[in-house]
Amino acid sequence: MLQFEDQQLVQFVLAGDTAAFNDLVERHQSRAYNLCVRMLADADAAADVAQDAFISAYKHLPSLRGEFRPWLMRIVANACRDVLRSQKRRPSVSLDLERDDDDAPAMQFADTSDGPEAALMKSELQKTIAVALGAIPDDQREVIILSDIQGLSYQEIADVTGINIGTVKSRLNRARSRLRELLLAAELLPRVRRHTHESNT
Amino acid sequence: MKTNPTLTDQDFQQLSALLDGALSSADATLLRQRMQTDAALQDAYTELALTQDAMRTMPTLKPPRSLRIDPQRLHQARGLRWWLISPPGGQLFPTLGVAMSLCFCLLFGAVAMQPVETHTLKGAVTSPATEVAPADQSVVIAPDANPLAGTPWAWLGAVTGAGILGGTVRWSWQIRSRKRAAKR
Repeated sequence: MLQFEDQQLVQFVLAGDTAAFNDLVERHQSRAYNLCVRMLADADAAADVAQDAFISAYKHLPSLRGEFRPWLMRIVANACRDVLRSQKRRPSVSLDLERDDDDAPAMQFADTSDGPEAALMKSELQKTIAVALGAIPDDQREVIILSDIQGLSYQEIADVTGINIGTVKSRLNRARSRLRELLLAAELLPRVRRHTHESNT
Repeated sequence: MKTNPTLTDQDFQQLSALLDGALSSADATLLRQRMQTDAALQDAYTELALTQDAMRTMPTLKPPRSLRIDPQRLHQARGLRWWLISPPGGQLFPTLGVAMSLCFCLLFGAVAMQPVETHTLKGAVTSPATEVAPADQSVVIAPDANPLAGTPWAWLGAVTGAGILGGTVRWSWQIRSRKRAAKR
């Protein structure tokens, strides 16, 4: 199948090819949905918010300047922020998100090359992190999700969130510090650390 | 349980930056040297790295349904800007815009280039000397005299017209380019 760059697809959409927009949706829906679901901790609401964000992106597509992906992620992040602001909803947890069904491959949780015990521990750590993220302030959670889950650089995070790099760094630092406190409180982190240390020695 | 009290905010900032590879090589070397002698610092770094690794390898969750959007719904979402770039507006407005701005530019350009007509008012003092026009002569102003002729305002109008013309030509060119790209 012929693969087009995002910018080419955008040009097709602007020229009247509506189907090309759904190609963009297919390409970016996973990233957009994952940001929403980690921010909102509600799978159905996250799908609705992500889809609304895509519609908003389509509506404003003629005003797009620059690259599509950061622009789209900015719209998605804004939509999540709006939902959190309007509903004052805190992610309450979401062990459901990590359910062991065919669609959410549980085996991706951990690298089993370190042995089943390490894999189990990592899986437990990931579940605890998913819960602990809900206890972090929205602005810090957004930054740590973009950085440590989605793997964006400081500059990309600044583009998506509309804040400067210095603020990105300080929010990320506070988020990591808070997350570490929560994981220490759950007494999981020292156990994983000790296990890793013993495995290494 | 609280974080280790021996760890300052600055330490934590440095560990976080080290994790992201955002620390200068000199600072990174210094911090690594400190970590060899400071167990609390080393533990904190290991915990941060483990947490980041666990987050990086979190599963990518699949949306519960496809987020593809019905074309009809997309069509309804179109705003004013869409109306200006898609048919029939996308065909009509650029043509109309080019025509109107061209007229605007030509009209003001023609006025700007008209020679400035100077009138001597009959009966008015024309020089410091005592030359006075005969008072019985009536004042005649040429009916075709344009008060804007040759003035900066006319030039400003002409330049503005040219700017709008350039903008509309560029706009229509972009629409044509998109259509050509889509056909390819």
